[in-house]
Amino acid sequence: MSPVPTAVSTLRPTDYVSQLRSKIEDKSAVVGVAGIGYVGLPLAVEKAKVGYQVFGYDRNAIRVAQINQGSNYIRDVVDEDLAKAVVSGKFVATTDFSTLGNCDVIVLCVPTPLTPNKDPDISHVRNVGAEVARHLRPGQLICLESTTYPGTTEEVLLPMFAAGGLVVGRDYFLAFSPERVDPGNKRYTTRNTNKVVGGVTSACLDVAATFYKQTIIDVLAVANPRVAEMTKVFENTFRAVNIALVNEMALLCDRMDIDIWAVMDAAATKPFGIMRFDPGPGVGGHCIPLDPFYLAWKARQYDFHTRFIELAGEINASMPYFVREKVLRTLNDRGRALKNARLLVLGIAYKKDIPDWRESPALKVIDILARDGADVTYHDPFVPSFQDEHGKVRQSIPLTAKALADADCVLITTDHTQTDWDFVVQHAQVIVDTRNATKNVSSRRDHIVLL
Amino acid sequence: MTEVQSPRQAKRVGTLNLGLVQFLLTALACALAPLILGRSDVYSGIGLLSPVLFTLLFFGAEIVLGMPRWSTRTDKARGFVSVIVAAAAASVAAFVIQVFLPSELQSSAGVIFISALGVVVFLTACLLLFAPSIEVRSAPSEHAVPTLVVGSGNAAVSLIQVIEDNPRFAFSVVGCVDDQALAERVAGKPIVGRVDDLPKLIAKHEVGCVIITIPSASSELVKRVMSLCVKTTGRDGKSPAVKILPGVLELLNDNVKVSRIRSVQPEDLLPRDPVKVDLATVAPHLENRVILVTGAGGSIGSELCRQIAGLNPKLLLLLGHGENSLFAIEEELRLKYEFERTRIILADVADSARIRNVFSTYRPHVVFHAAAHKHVPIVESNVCEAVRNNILGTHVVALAAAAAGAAKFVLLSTDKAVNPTSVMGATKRLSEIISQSFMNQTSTEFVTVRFGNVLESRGSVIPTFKRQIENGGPVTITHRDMQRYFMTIPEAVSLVLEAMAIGRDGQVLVLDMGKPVNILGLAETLITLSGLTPYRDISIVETGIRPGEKLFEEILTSHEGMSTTSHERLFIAQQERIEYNRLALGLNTLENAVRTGEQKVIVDVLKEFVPTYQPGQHFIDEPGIPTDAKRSSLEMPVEQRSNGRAASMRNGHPLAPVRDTQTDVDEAAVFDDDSGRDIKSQPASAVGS
Repeated sequence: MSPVPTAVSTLRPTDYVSQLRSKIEDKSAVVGVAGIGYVGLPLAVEKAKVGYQVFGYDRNAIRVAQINQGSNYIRDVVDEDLAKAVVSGKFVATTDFSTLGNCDVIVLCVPTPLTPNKDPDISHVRNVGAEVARHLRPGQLICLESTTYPGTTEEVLLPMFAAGGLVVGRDYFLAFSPERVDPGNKRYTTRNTNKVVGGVTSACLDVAATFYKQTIIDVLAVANPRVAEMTKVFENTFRAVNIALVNEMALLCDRMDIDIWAVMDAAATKPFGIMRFDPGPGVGGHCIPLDPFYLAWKARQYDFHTRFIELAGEINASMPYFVREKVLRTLNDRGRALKNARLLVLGIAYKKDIPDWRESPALKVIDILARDGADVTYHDPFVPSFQDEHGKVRQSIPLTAKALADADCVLITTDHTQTDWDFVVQHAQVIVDTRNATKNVSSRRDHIVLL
Repeated sequence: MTEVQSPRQAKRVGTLNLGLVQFLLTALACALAPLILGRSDVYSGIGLLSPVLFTLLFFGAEIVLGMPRWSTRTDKARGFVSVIVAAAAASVAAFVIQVFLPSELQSSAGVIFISALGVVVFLTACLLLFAPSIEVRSAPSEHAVPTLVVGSGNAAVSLIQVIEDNPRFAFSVVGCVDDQALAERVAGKPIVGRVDDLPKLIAKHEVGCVIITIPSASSELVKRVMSLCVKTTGRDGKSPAVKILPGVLELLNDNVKVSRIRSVQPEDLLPRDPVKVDLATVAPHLENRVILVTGAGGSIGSELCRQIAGLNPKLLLLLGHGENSLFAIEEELRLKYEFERTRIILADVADSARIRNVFSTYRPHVVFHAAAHKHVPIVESNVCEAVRNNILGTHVVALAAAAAGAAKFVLLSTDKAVNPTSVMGATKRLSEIISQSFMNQTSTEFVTVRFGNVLESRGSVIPTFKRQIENGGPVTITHRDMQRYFMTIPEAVSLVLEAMAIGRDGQVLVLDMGKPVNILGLAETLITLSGLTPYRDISIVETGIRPGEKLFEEILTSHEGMSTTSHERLFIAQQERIEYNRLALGLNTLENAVRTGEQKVIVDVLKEFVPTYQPGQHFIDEPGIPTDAKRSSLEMPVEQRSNGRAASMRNGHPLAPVRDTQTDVDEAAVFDDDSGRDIKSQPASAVGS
């Protein structure tokens, strides 16, 4: 802990920049991570691995207890890494914020959901910001990682901290550095994904960049937090818009009887000026469906309407209904009605190889199919059960030849790598594949209906 | 066959004799055939060749086809068919052979045909005429136990037929008794009276065995039959043995076999209805999944393993502390159930590192947490260990299960958790609170299943009583008004599986245990079942309520309402939930208190989270030392008090005769307590595993 400034030291103010920098560099700085979920936990474990003393704060006491017994609930974190960090005492979780308030570096990884009206809900950022402000002392670095609208760091957090009388960039440091965690991505982890950092002042940037350089190979400094904030929201909007564009193409190709997947494969061969996106049953996860709303909401304050974002949202939201239409037509071809048809949905997770089903388009698809009277069951190796919005709990059924053969139609909504697609195609009566998961299956192609 | 002793030997001799008779009859029929055709010429020279040939062929065919046994009606029909088939086969063979013989050796087709016809007519006539007498001769008579059958339904018919068909069972059915007989005869045996006529009939026929064949026999009927039989002397001056045919479920799985008749078991006397389990709801959760059972070596845990193994899981993890009991259940699954996809995991449930490793390695789909210390008096004096195992262990396993993404976590709990008066009950209630506090916090569903006493659990009351009776008594009970619910372990476990399937996150499900049973009545019944008379042959001693014990188990607290589920024997207890965040602080305090051994802190935390917990007096007076239970003899009925055989009641000093069995009684009292509270699981460590 840094010494509290004394009367003597006021003659020559303590250089908190170099003091904190050197603490960061020799790993003696104590790191606090607020919010130990998908973003915070991998970060905390990485920091503990390189030698920092790390405290993890979460309001969810169950998570805290799980961490403290070394139980890992995030697949992106290696079990052994977490266990080692916990057993060695380098990583301790707590529900008591005061432990975190004393850390030299505090990283905020709290969630930024939407309100029921699809407005940004930054109450978690505000609450944890208020806690930080209460404990704020000279020589601390505070980094916000939560995805949010541009301006949050300087318009929400900075005024809270400034109220205590400390001077940003001299006494304490504030920066925004967006998380870029891609759950389930084996190639790009926290360590080898470039990190953008924007500091409120140049000293803030200096300290924050130093901190991130300890565990991340490439750190990119940008002029201020707003650039960093906008970068993150743009990245996700970019994905949402491009996916929507491809989805729109898929709708058109369906009308024109053109294979969208063949088009995508062919277009992707162009070495420049194109980027591959795949159509699908809709978008899911915590970022892509949510983040554009943050930007659109903020834009309205500037009398600006983000038309692309709205349009993209509209098209992506229509995809589950298009999937229903596909299923309906497929059953119709076989002389069956959707009502009372037995449907087996493969994959609940919003993307492949992860256990996360929140905001997943598969939920929407199941919901509308069930509403039409279909008898829907599902299989997902990563999601043993889930509760739908009506409170009904659904259980994953084992993927057996009988289960496949019994279904009037098998609907692929997530292309988990471990699923044996040959086996699925071999036994299913007919398959609607919204992910082109069966692209490598050569037999019984006439039983596969692609999106 | 006069000297033949065993029925089996008698039967073999009978078969030989029959073979000889048949052979002679066949030869006679063949020999006479030419005569009937008016061709006496064949009797000279080699003419007899063809009748001899036919006799040999016929006999060969009979042997190949199997000798008819001629003992029952079904066998008569079979015997007739085999005679015809053998005759036909022998005729065909004779024709074929004749073709290859020199012409002078051939006889006419008519001779062969007549021989065959003669054999069939002759043997069939003999079959019809003599078989009844053969039958009587082959049945054992001297050594068969005269038997009365209670009931006249289908089960009685099957039973009597099976007995008649299998002389080796050495029963001879005198007749049936039934209060509502529908026919006059049952499988050829007369209805000889009503149930109340049993004493008279037993004495008259010197009956040695009474078999109850009403599959749905109520415990009242069983008790009535028992008491009537006990009062009477039959064969050899002894009361007849009372046996019972297996219940409905067993009958469905198995045809009636005499070997399935068993003696009346204590559970037959308990009022309850059979448990029905819907496999269709249970199987999808277990089939082809990784399942983990903690406390797998215990009485509940091992039965869980047996039933789960029957539902074909991908892997069954047997987690426990005692390697012997784990080895035993694994062996049993392998040998008796031919289930080999098991893995023994030696682990202490409170060892978070170990448990975390197990969960991240195997990622079980459903977790049954049956590990707990359950013996009330033992727990009362081992508070720290009980808290560590029951509370902290549940916490560790619950956290690991949620982190590993298990679909279901099923906590096995006990009715002793309701308004607990014991440390054991309080620790189980706190385990329930932990399980409930996880509700809606994780993707795992936390279901608690609470049930009462189970029979035959290790340390349960019935084995204890049985042992006490074998030792000549006394039988010790804690209080004459003590009442307990009873259920067999397989039934309770079936309901646990059902509860696992239908229970939703955060729910506490309660098993309908049937009607409560008075322990004193149970003791009396058990003594009677052993052919002895309560208070005369075996005394019953009251030891007094032990610390932490209650007269009546409440399945629900007074604050809890009950709502129904889709299963008639399962109910949802409306329980107050405690926020996990608040609970976490208490658990922290408990963990520290366990380490430092501060019992007072532990009791305070238990009281904080379980306000209805009433700690035993010993925690207030002398911490850690349970008060010794006072013993008083149970007052026995006046008319029996004068009986000199009331050994334990000597000279009005009820304690005196008990002294020499002090150890036994102590232990019995321990178990008796437990019987009241015998739930669950085998302790992960604790008492003998």
